[in-house]
Amino acid sequence: MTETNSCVEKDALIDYLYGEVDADARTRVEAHLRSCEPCADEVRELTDVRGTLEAWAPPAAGLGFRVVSDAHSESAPVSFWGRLRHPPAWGLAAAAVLVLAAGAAITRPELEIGRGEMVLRLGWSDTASDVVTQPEAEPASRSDQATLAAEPRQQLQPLRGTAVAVGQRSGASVPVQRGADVFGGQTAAAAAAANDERLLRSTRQLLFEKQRIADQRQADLSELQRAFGEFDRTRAEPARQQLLEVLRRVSAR
Amino acid sequence: MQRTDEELVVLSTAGDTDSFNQLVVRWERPIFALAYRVIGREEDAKDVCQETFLRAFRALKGFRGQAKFSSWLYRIALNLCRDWVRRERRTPMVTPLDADTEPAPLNGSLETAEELVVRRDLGRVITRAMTALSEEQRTTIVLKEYHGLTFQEIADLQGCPLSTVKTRLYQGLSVLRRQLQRSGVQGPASIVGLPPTALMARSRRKVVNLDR
Repeated sequence: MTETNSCVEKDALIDYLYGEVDADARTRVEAHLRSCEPCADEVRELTDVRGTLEAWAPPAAGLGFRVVSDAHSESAPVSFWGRLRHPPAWGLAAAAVLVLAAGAAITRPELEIGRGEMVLRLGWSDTASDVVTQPEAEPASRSDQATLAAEPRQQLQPLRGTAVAVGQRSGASVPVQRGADVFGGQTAAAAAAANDERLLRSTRQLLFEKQRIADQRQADLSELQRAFGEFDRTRAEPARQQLLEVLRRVSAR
Repeated sequence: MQRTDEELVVLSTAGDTDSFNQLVVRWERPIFALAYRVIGREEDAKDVCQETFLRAFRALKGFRGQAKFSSWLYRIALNLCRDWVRRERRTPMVTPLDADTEPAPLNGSLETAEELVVRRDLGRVITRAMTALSEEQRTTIVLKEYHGLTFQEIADLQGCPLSTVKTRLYQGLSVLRRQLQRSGVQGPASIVGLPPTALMARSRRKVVNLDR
């Protein structure tokens, strides 16, 4: 039978079906079912439905949810441009260092002394390209974490060489030692002594300033290298690549 | 000795994350099963399950023990399921398990390969039959049949009178009976081998088990 039978109220039938019934009510329902075939059929069929439902199981899905920290601290993923709008502290520091390093590279001072003249040039470097050779970027598919962490340092290594090369070139070309010989040869000229003394002071001041700039540049590059070393590759790879590209362009000028 | 839910709640409220994770381990499977049967999509059910525990964790300090922890979890999960149904603006549709997806094992029973295949096929039939129910009928039957909640617990969760719960159960079972008969399923005895009297006894056992 498939139609609803009204002999037993549906509430009482459901109570009986699910066993949430006291002894007296159970006795009354069972007594009715013995005398009423339609009601007995309905109870049996609904019980069969319940038995069939037993076969409906959810998939054996892997779950494994765990709370690892304050859930409030979790934030939604932020796009690359979103990160640029709200850059982290290390990003600001790295950008500042990059600007300083690029400025030092661009305005690299050149000092020439000869025939009683001293020339200091500040401007675009025309010699940077002969000492900077950028390697190709490491393949992005490398998965070893230690290698990935070291990769920025590897890519920055030529830049450090650049800084060293600049220092060596300065030692060879900037006439600190050579200038001493020149000045030593001129001490006999009494008429030029006062002029030489003034020139020597100016030279020392300029050399001191040049050395200070070189030291600052070295420190900037070290800071830049350190900042790159702290990059989280999975989240900051696009930013790192962009900064490296900017650095390559600046260094290649 | 295993701690009760309420003891773990107290420890969790004091900042013991491990205690809360014990609650997660204890209840993630029932909550996932509830979400899956109500909204019918595995991945969405996982999301609902995870969100349920995140919300519970965030609101734990506000849980005063006025209800059982499990009832509190069920309420959060059902609210999320209702939000999902309204957001998606669609009737829950269960994607039948494909041939490669194994249904979760039955509690306390060992099945042969043949029995597992029969149960998976029968699960597909039930999946289709369930889509004929209203959201309220479906949720009521799921809470009663698969989670063993009492009529009163279901009424509290759904915010309706006790008689409404029984009406939804009766009407829902009647709809399922017609749907299953149309599909050629005449009864469970020949398929899962459980006599009706055993089913009634199992229903009472479920209620007891969930009262831990």
